[in-house]
Amino acid sequence: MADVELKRVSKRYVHGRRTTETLRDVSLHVRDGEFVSLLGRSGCGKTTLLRIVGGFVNADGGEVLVDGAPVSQPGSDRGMLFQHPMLFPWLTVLDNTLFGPRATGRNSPAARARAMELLQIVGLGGFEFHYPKQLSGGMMHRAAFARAMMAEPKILLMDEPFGALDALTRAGMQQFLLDLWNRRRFTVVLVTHDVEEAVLLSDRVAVMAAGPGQIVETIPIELPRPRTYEMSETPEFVQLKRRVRQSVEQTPARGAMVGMQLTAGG
Amino acid sequence: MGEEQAQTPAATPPGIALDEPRFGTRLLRRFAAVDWSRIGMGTLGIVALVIAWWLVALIIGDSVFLPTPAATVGTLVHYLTHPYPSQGDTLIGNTLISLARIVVGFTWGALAGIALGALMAGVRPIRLIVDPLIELGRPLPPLAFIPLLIVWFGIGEAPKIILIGVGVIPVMVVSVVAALDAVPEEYVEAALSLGATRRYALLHVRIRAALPAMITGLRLAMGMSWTSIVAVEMIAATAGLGYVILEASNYLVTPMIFSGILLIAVVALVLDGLLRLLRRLVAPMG
Ligand SMILES: Nc1ncnc2c1ncn2[C@@H]1O[C@H](COP(=O)(O)OP(=O)(O)OP(=O)(O)O)[C@@H](O)[C@H]1O
Ligand SMILES: [Mg+2]
Repeated sequence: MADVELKRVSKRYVHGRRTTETLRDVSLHVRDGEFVSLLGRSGCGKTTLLRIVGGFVNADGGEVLVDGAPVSQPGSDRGMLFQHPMLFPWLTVLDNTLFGPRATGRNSPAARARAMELLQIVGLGGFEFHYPKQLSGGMMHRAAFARAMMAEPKILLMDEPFGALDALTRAGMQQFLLDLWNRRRFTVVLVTHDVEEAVLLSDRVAVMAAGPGQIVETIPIELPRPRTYEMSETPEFVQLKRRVRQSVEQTPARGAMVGMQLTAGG
Repeated sequence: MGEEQAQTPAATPPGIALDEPRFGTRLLRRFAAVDWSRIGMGTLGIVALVIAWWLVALIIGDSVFLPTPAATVGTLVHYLTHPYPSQGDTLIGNTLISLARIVVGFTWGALAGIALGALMAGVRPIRLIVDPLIELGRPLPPLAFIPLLIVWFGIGEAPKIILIGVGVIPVMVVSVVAALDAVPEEYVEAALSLGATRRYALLHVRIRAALPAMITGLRLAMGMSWTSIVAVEMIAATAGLGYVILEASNYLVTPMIFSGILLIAVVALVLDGLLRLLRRLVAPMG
């Protein structure tokens, strides 16, 4: 079991005499093994919400429950992937993957074998002793995946993990994530502002609006699994994409962020 | 993920067949990666300088104004094992004296600077209190403190070692604070979400990630140490390379002045080389 329950979560930031209400009464229930995307314009509080679930930021109000227990700090039950892979540059790919076991005093030959196996799975067999700087952007992301999976998180939190990649590599990573998730069905909360990505990967898309940040709508994506990249051309897919994009476009643009671009093809 | 979901797909057998290069081999490989073209060009520059020096010395033809490289090297080699001035120490002895002062002064200054910088980076009130003091003291050349240190501590070893430290501390504080500040918060967050405790993340991630930049700070501080020690040896010392240079100047022994400068250059280069080596060890990919 690994479900995430957000109950009327709110968050304010105070700078000087001004207060920004970043999140107001956000409620969301992510079920065990479900893949949910948070989609919305820049600045609507997606990252803040994800960081609250991660335990890096505390909410001012409301509750965050993981498997029924309130979240107060980061933990290895919630794996985190950022926009940049954040591999430790002084460690080889294998040592990066073994960081978790070492930090928790669980390094062993078995852990090492498992790390090697995970690196094979993410397609980095043969690169175990390379340093992050010797990898391409996509490879670094896959190494970060292996490192996160090594901790056996119940929930994977991702903040625009492919945002910095070129279109082709991003498509490859999305397919990779689809395959991995298909095999293991862990719970995922993915932050993105790419409509196509949200539709392709998710079971549900939570559309967020800014000022104050809130979830305006949760759209179920009832496309068959396993999914592949080719499905993005089917009429059902295009229709869902349009539906999601309209929902996001109806949200008010926030101050200077009017010109924000939604990456969507259809 | 639950155990039941974590099966390995049949298509991807565990890859444990690869063997990791042994530690010694890796170390060797790291240092064998010498850039010969860089060394070649560097040597070329030095050779050009020596030739230019030689030509100018021959044209001027005044060995007190500018001795030839040969005359200088002759003096240097002779006095490596003979005392200069005659009641003093050999050049080797004087070099070791300066080196010892540098090592002791630099070490305590660097340790104090690192500790203070780390505290400032980690504890906000300390930063707010100490920062203005550092900013106030930093533009002051350490040499300005020499007279004061002589009044307080005489002309023994204490004022020299203190002076070096006083020069090193602000340099280290500034670079340690900058190095720790520059570590992305996400490194630490990644570590925490992999199960690390805050303490482990601080030691093995935040501080570890800042190490290369801190070592660059050490290199800058080392330069500062040489400025301090040569200056104080010229003003208040009876041994050391700074003292030798000043003594040679008083008696117009120009080759000896050059010898002293050369020795400083060589020792400084070696110490800097050690620090660069250290940096290469902690930052394998530069
Ligand atoms: N540490 C902070 N201090 C002050 N304000 C913050 C902080 N973090 C976020 N905010 C504010 O909260 C709001 C939401 O920020 P957040 O980063 O969550 O948005 P986002 O939806 O992730 O945007 P993007 O798509 O651009 O990444 C912004 O107005 C931002 O200014
Ligand atoms: Mg964000």
